Amino acid sequence: MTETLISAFHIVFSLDTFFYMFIGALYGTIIGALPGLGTIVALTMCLPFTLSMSVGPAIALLLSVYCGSVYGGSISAVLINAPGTPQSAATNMDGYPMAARGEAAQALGWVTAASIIGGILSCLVLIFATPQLAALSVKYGGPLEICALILLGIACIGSLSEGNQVKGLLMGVFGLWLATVGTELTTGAARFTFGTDSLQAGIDMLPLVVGVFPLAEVFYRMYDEKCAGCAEPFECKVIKFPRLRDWAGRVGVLLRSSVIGIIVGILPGTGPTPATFISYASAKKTSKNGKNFGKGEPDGLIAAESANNAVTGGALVPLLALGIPGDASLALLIGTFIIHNITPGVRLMVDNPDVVYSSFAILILSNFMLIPAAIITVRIFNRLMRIPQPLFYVIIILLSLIGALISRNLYMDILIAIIAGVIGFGMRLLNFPAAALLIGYVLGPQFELRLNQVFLYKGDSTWGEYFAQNTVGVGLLIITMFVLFLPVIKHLYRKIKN
Amino acid sequence: MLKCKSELLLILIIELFCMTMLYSSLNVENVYLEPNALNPMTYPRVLLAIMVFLAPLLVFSGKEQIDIKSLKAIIFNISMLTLIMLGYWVLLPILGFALAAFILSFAGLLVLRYDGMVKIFVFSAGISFAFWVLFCKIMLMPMPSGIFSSL
Repeated sequence: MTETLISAFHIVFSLDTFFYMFIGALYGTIIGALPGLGTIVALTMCLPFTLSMSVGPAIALLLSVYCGSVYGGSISAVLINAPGTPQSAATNMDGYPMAARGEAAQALGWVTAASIIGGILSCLVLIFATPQLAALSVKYGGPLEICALILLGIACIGSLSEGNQVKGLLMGVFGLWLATVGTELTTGAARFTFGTDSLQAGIDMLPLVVGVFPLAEVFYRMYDEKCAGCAEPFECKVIKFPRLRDWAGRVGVLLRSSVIGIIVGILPGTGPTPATFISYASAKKTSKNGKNFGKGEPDGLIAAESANNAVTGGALVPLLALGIPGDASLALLIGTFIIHNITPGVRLMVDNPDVVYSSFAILILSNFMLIPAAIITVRIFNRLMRIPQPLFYVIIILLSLIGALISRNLYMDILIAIIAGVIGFGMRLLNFPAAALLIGYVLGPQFELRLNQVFLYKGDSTWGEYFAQNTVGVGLLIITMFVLFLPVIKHLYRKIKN
Repeated sequence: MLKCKSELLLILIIELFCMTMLYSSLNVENVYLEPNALNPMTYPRVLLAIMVFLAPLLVFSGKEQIDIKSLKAIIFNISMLTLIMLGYWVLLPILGFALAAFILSFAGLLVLRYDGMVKIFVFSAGISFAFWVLFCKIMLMPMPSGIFSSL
């Protein structure tokens, strides 16, 4: 244990890690503040840079970009009435009215303080919950249980794709299938390579991700001009943080919203957007200032922002304890672990405890890094908003194509990225969730490996005997089936009720 | 806004894709390492079969509203950008990273109608030089040098 903590201490407290944490928080906040781009684009664009880094700085960069981009959307929500990310839409409801009556600096202060406190509270839960969950998963984490967990993750994402359950599931299964392309490791059989050498090693994550997310995003922003055109920002160069006495009567809202954010974050497939709205609605009912919500009430900002950032720590619990990412951003983090030869899954806590403990510390520090990042971003925000869109597009395209090439140095990967970009644009148009595709793809190899183990461990015994020995796995499979059929059950329930 | 009823076409495309992949998987020789182990093609075949089953259910999913007017207006730009990216893919090993990146930025900004040729030239040169320094000189990543490899 002591050795682990010393090793984690070395990873975190190095100049490199601090530098990348600051850069990541600043970059994430800036990208988050630009309407339409969001967390996944921010993470994808900096993935190529992590390839040449050691694991500590790479995790520091990605986690701080993750926190920064989740927070950054609120700056544009306050200053230009256009949330930079979907999860900042609730912030918009009270932030913009405050800015309109000349209190933009105060609104940004509440937003930043609530985000940081929510983020840190979720980190504390992460620190206490992850080892417990990891210990449980090591105890019960047989192949059937892991298969069932992966299926549950994909089923949750599919079922929670509002009105698009079939599309979500289809994308999840397509992601699982994409991961099978290339040489099968145990037998050496070439699958779906069509005789091409370039496909023997399979489809790499980076070309797929840069195609489906940033390149598709550029195309989509060209199509949906509403994303690109923005109002003139309010002039605000400073952030006025709330004083201690300003918090009187608001701590309850802060704690309640943080807890909502953490719980929603732990559930796969949910993410910060539902957490924000659930928390906002709950605060509107319970806060003594509830009637002022929507008119520039700080309680509304606290509810939205603390829940929003509390999701970051909550979402990392299943990722670090079970290796199951809750959304596309976390699937990218898993991808980075794999690039750095760290196998995510139930044994991560046992095999690489230093990585897990350093991730905890990095996440807490990243939340503190949001303060300088926010101050700088607010200062340059007006200038950022004046940068012409074509320049952004060209930089995104170039960085995406560089990212596609440098992971394996195969020219074929650039072509894969371009094709994925065009398909990704079609997916955006037709509302197919790309997150489900990415999660299926990232979890695919592990799922196949565990499925093979299930067949091997079952041996000559019957399925009934095997299931009787693995009741936890069977329980998880039943929950998966329930989640899968939840939309049908809901539909039938509504019909019967009517 | 025009309602785009493309579900049937989409289902057809997905079904055709899955069937083609299923057919191609039949040509792979069966390999067994252990009597109880799964055949390497069984798992992907099952996934394809699930997709074949799921695709027709798309008719029950919500209809997407696509703004055909906006799509028509930008389809040329998107096609041109895709062509430029394909050009970058072809030119990269020949011209090297810096020059290919310059051509990509220059052509991209022209298509996106960024104002003024001088501005476009300066920005393209600046961005390709900055990325070359960042990736090749600072991060020491092995980017293709093309015709400049002998320099």
